[in-house]
Amino acid sequence: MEQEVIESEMILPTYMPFKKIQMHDKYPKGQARGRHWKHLRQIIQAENYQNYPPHEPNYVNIESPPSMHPRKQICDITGFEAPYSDPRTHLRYANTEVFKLIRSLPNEYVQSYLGLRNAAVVL
Amino acid sequence: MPFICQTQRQTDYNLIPQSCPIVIDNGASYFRIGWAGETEPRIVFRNIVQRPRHKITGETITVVGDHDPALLKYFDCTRSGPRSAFDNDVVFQFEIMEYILDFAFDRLGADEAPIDHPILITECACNPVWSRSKMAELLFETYGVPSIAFGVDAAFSYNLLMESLFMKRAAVPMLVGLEFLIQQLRHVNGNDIQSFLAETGYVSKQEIESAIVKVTQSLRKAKGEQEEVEEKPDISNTEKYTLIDIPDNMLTPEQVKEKKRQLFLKTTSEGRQKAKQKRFEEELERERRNKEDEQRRLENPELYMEQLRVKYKELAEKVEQRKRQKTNGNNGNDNNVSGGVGRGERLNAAQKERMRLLTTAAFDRGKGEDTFGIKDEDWQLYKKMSKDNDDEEEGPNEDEVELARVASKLREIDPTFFPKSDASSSGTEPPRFRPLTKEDFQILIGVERFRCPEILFHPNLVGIEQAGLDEMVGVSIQRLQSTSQSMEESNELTNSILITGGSCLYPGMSERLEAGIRMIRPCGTPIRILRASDAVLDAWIGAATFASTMHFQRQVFTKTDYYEKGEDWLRQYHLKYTF
Repeated sequence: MEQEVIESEMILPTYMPFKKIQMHDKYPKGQARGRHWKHLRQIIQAENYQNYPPHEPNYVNIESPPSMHPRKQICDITGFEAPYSDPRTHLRYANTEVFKLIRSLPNEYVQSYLGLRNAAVVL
Repeated sequence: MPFICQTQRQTDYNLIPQSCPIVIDNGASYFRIGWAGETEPRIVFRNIVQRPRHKITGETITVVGDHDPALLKYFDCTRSGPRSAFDNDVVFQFEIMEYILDFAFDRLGADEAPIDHPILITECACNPVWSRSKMAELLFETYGVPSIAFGVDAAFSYNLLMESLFMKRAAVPMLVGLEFLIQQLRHVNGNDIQSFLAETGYVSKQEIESAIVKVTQSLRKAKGEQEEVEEKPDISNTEKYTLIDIPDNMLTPEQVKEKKRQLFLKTTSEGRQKAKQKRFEEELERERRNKEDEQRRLENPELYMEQLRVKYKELAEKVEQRKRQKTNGNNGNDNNVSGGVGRGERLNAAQKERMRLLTTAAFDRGKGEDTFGIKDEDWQLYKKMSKDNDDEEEGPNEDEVELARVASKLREIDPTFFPKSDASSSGTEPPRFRPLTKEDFQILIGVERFRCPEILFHPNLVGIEQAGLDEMVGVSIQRLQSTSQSMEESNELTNSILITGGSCLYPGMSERLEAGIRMIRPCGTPIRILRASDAVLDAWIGAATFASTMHFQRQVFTKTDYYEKGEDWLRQYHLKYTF
């Protein structure tokens, strides 16, 4: 190991004196560890929140509801206010220059702009 | 303002009494750990883990937190991006959590025996029980901690609390020491803001950059090819063309074959050399012309510039005209069905030809009947038509080449020159000739400064169907009011709103929030928004002060508690916050 790497102490040592079980015992080498862990969606599903009374706060029912206010429409390219939208690509634009630009974009850029808004076509 | 990591190994671990709790603020962005009762955490680092492989020895090492990126050059980091234990503010990857805790305790100075101090660790509001119990298990089993308390990181402050941390936004009204009702905007998080910034800013930059990269690559390739070609003649010259000189009838058939091969090789290499020669001469010619040009320029710069400008204008007009004829609507065809011609779009030569063939084929057959296709030769018609859209690739013709050359010359010598129609012709030639200005090293952030934090208030901008911060506050107070409260109490709430967390450091955040809340609450409610004195560290500081009070002792649960009472009890476990 190179000297400067050792000196900078950025590597985590493999043996920790204060631990009862060391990492390499717990997770033997060579096994795929990533798949053991449940993702958030699975955790929430496993919790079965519908069995519990709804007025108690839990992870799911404290999420905020959809907005009551009308949406703010902003141009996807420039960030200004955008009253118009392109019927072909569904991008919002603020004025004619932006529109010209939109019409000249290849499809991947169009999809990535839409993806920012979570409105891209997912195949 | 910029976050610093403190990861010095502490030396006084053994001096601290056993009853002093360790306070951990397990945040999605930073991990802070320290002793209770102190004013700031001892160790602060980014809550990520990387496991790169060493390039030479091949062993996999673990790196926790931030570090000097220059040191990573010894490691192969392609497969090991930084990983976080969090999934949207809930800890789910406990292996990574273990690495992090390892590192934290190590730097805190722990060196022997189990960690013998009670621990106060923060979590998100309403953390799922699975995550909580796994965390408790980890701490009890692997580290031997005697007792643990979980607290909501947002809750270590007062009344209506709005927290804008890395991973979530929470509006937590707290009444009389209890958490009353909580609303959270889960999905929008600080991470989103960063990625949003990256994408909006750089989708446009990408185009330019990729164009530049492509151009430099092709340039290099062209240069490289020339070099390669030079090598080959050297090699072939060392081959012996021995057999060629001997006349045919004196050789055996094999040798004849050999001779043919050598002849072939010789002619090709000669051909290559001739081509090279020609290229060389052309180069010379070009050089000479350039030199002449330079001479002219040096003699009389003004006149030269004028001439160039005039030439440029003429060429530009010609090119524009042709372009207008050709692409009057072809620009839109990229997104369209290829080959489709809409209304009012002019056809260029190839398309006209195609049209003509089709109409004649359809027309001059039968008397009212369509007999196209009965004979096989009819289908040969399609071979005559050019393929779709190859009219797009005519390639730059002479005028355009000349135009580009003149444009580049002008750009070099005339500081006030702006090439016309730069948008259409840029991307290929200009980056090659323009010297690097300081603007190539700048990243411009203008509108993004507003667009990005705006998604906190309008998550619809990133497609998340939830209410923004200001609306959320209004709604949550309203819901409280409907259950039990009176007007005065809700006024009290709005009168003391505290915002904490890293995301609240945006300039103008409190004014914006106040304006938003004022729009929702009834007219005349007193609204006062306070920013936490040390927004980033406040959660930890609050936790530390809490841990040093007497109340903390009664709130912890021990290992025996945990195993006796089980998971259900853990679900009900809430810290009672008192001031």
